Amino acid sequence: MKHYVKRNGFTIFLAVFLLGLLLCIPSQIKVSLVSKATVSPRAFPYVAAIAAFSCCLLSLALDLFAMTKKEEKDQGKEMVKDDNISYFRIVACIALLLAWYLVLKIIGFIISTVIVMFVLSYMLGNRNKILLAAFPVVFTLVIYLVFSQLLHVNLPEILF
Amino acid sequence: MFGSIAAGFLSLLNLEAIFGMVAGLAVGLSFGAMPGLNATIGITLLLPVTFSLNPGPAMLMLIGVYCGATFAGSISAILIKTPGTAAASATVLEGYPMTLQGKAPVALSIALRGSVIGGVFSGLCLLFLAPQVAKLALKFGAPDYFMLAVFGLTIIASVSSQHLLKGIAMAALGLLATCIGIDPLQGTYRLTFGSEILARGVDLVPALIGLFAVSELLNQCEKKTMFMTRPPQVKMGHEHGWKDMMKYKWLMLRSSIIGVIVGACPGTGAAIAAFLSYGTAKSTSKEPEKYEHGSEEGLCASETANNAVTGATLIPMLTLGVPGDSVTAVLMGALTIQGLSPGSQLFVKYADMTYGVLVGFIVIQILMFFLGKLAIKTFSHLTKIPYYILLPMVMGFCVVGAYACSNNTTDILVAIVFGVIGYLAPKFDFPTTPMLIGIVLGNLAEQNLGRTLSVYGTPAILVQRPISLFFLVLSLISVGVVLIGKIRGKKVEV
Repeated sequence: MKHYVKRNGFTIFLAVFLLGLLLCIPSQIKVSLVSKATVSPRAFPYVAAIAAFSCCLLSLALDLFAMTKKEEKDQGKEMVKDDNISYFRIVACIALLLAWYLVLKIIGFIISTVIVMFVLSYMLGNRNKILLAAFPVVFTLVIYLVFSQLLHVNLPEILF
Repeated sequence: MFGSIAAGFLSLLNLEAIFGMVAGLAVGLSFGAMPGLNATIGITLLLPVTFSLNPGPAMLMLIGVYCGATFAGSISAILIKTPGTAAASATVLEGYPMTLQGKAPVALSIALRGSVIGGVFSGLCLLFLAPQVAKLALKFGAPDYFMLAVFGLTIIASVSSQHLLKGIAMAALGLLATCIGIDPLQGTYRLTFGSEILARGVDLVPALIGLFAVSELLNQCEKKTMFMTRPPQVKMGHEHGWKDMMKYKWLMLRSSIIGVIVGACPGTGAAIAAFLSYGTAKSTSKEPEKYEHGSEEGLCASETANNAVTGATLIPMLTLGVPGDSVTAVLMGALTIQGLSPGSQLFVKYADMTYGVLVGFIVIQILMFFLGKLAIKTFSHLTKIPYYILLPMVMGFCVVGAYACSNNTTDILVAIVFGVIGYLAPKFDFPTTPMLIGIVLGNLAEQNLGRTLSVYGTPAILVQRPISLFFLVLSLISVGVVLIGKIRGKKVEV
């Protein structure tokens, strides 16, 4: 059972999420009583959510059925742990991108991007001190010049 | 007519027109190859430059950007698994696996030649068949658009044949993502949970950036030891020539026709054409097992179709004044700035200029072959850059590109969320391409279903109109082929 949950973790999460969404649809999508439209605004979300939910359940059921056919001892052989995966780096990378999104409008594009480029480059294995110092600054300035000066895109500036 | 064509060709023989075409192509190739930048940004950048040019060279410059960007999106898709434009998303499916197999030069040469063929075909349709194609496009009604979207959705079966249920689930999630925000038919808020962020909805470009670029960044970040410190190296030299492409002549013809038909219908786009062509090629292939593992056929089909759209989108714009997408909307703006109005007047009062543009479109495809080779040689140097420089650079361009879509940081958050989905889903055998297809086709399907039922009152119209019936039959064939293939596969296993 442990292997089953590990192998189908995403599917289970998705099924639970979609079930929650299905229950939320009536409260989240108001239907106008006077509307003469033939397609309710809830129709498409319901169809999509039910289709996705059904597919998740079917997939879980089929995998359970396939699992019961195999011997218990053979299941563990399939679950080879990949020792080269660093979950810490994944979480750190996602946290870094989210932090970039949050501080972009507060400290501005240039400062936030220099910091993010530095940290990202370091996380991906850059240990050359000169490159680590120069790359974030040069690249950020290039992007700033291309987008704000050449393409006239208003990039966020520092608030204070 | 041939007199006008000759006069149009002669109008190209001046420095201004040649400069316009070459400059436009150069900008288009550069912008298309950079993830986060696209044809619309390139055209907007060059628009002020066109004020000082005559109308013909001005239009040719902007069309050069459009065609160059549409092809160049495949360069980054093939080399670093990050499509430069939405049109190149289908290219990643076959192009990147070919790069991992050391066949990047072959993939790039197929993409270039396929794009040129598709572009030339659509240019010929634009030149000789514009009125007829415009009439066909006018015949498309809401039921036909809906069935076109349904046919597009059946491609999911082709691109997720290994895990069909999970592919359908991801496509349905993509459709669900398009439901977030404001209902296009009634204007009610849907699934926003009171959040202003969700009220803006999910745009294609940030979702695309997330599913490909951000997820690739996470995939590279996860490794404790970097097996590949650089992208797979590209050694130019072993490319496909025109003779090698002859074995795909019928495939390219079919893909070009698909591209022209889809492109002539306003509101569709190159991404839809690319996926439709790819799915059709896989359904009819003698070697479907090679698909998603570096199939030259699949790559050729998607690239030919997405460039065949470029000429076709100009047909409704020039003949009817109806822009098919954001690029042609800007092109129409450029026409207006030059003092011209789309319609029959263009072909009568300004025949020389108009036919100059139409002939120039074909010349641009030929120039794109030579400039495209140069672009490939230039961008192939990307693979020499170590990942710890390349990925942050790509991320920087992508994030700013996502922000530039609507000058809102919310799009960055959308890209991050889809990046996490794009990273996690494949680990549990959920393919991400169907999700992208769902996002591309969701609005098209829902809006036209709503219009169909509002106007006709019954879904029976879907089998009564010849065009929608045609797409319905194609959809059934598409699904049937995949299911029969799966059943046969299981019988062989037994």
